[in-house]
Amino acid sequence: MIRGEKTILRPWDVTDAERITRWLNDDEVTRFLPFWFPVTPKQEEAWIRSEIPGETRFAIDTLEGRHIGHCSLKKEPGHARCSEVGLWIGERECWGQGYCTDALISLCLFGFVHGNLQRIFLHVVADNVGAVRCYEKAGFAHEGRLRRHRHHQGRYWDVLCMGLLREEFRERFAQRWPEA
Amino acid sequence: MIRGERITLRPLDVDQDLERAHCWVNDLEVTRFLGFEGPLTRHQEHEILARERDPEQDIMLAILTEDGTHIGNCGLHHISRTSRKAELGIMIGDKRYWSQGYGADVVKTLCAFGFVRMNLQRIELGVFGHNPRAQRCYTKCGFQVEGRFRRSIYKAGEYRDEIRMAILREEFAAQFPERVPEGMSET
Repeated sequence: MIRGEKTILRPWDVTDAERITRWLNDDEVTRFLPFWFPVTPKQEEAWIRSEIPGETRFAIDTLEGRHIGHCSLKKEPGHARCSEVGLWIGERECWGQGYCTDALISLCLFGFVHGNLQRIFLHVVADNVGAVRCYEKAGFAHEGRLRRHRHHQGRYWDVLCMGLLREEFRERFAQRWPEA
Repeated sequence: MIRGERITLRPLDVDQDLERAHCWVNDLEVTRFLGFEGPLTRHQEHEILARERDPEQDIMLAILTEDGTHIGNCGLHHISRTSRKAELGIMIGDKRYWSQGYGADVVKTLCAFGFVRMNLQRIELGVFGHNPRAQRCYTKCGFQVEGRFRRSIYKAGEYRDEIRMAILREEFAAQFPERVPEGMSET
């Protein structure tokens, strides 16, 4: 459990499967995500039970305990101490209220402090301005643009590469870094 | 869930769907228009429905009416990511729902899914010469006849022709603009 200012990150539980199925079958939610095929509760239960080496997943809850989304860190192969972020808020009515930024800060804190990472990066569809702003707030720097990298809803979309280094994060969120 | 105008498509669920599907694939009135040779045992049908499918290669979906009744199955098969094409298949197994326009809605919904979501550029299908009702349906959905495989299959007492039909991405977008998003790439 990682407690932030607005969210708590916790491990997934099979009882979350119905909710995640509803989210991933919502076209608005998957608008900027690489999901394109309907999913069933059974598949999501299997996903929750499955383990991928190098991947750490969390369910995102509000402080009141309402489950609203998903985030994960996936280790890059090799020894670069570098992981990729996956993050989305499935409850639409919770968009634009800072949950995403708060969960991302907690996730990075987990990665740097507990996972000894030295770099965290992510890919985001350029038109997903809300998400880009959230990542900027968490300190992620723009590192590049992958032109027409993703296909969605009949057309191609550019994808932005963003990254955050350990010392940048530590300086920006010094108050959340553990005391020496 | 994939929504059409009246129907909804959802992934198959072997526990829920097996009994019905097993009845349909052993109904000679249904299978006389289908390309496989029955009968199928319950176990064989279970194998077909329970098979793990990679939706990049093969898609099978249940067809539901407005009130959630499961009336048939459909899919996109032999999907080629390189040629960006697929073969469309559809069966309305519950005969009470024939000739009510459900088939056309399913075909258009599958085509939109293939072109918009999967970025296909061509969808093709085969229909038997003794199934003029289905041919009319596909024509209505914008499919064009591309060829005729003569005496391609023995069905219901005779050798039957298989008519090959297909629709291209830009043809579908031009005929059913309400089914594709604005700004969809032409090719």
